[in-house]
Amino acid sequence: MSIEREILTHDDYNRIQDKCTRKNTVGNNRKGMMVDKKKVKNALLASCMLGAIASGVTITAGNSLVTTFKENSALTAECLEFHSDVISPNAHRTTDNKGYYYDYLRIAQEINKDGNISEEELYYTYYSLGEENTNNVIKYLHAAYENVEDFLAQHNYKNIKDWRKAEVKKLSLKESIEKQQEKLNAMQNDLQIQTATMQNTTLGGK
Amino acid sequence: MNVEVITIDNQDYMIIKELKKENINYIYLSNMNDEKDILIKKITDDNPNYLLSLDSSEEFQKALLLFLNDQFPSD
Repeated sequence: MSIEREILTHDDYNRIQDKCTRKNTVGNNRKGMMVDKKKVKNALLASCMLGAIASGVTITAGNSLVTTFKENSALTAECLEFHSDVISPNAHRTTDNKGYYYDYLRIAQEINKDGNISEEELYYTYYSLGEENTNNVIKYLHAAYENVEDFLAQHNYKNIKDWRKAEVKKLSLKESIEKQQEKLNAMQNDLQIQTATMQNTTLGGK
Repeated sequence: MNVEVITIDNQDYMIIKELKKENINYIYLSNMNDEKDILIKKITDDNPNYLLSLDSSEEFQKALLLFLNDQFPSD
């Protein structure tokens, strides 16, 4: 499988993303589109296509885009985890059973649990609940900012995308530091073992 | 070798890969006449007979990452 050629560009990527998330496909109804699989015999085409999609997606405008996918997805994973650990337990059905209301105080306490407001967790809250609900959470944070808009302004973020980019970078840096720390710990352990072995050898030799 | 094909917007797409994550089966498709035309759709356990579009760009990235990790596992 060749991964040397560039098959997809950024424009291709955006076009594919739009197409994948578009709902107005022929045959689509409110539920979706009926699955109608047909079997076709074509061995050569199958292997060529597998190579094309794999190399195309991977090489797309170089490795940096793959890194961007991975970093963005890592942040999305954190957001989803926060949603299930913090948001979901604090979401309650409205009496008409049509929507949800949220325990803003408890969510705020979670974001501020160490006495420091976690901006990452504030972003995860925004990701899960949107601006209006996040503004209600901020009221309980007793922070230096009044709402999401004020938060963005005080941090010199132009918009939410800018905030997301900053959080992606922070998470990437955090993971990189953790990896380095793990390596350091492993080296320290090795050194301790080596020192102990040398001491034992020396003592045994006396 | 038999390949499975789904027709979307009057175009035949070959199923390249199916990957399951939680209760969602992501379907990776490639247009049989245009190698740049690739698609990711999903089938959920709740609606097994329906092919659905992805909900958001976040889900698109998630599905793409799932494919990348499957094809090129990292260390």
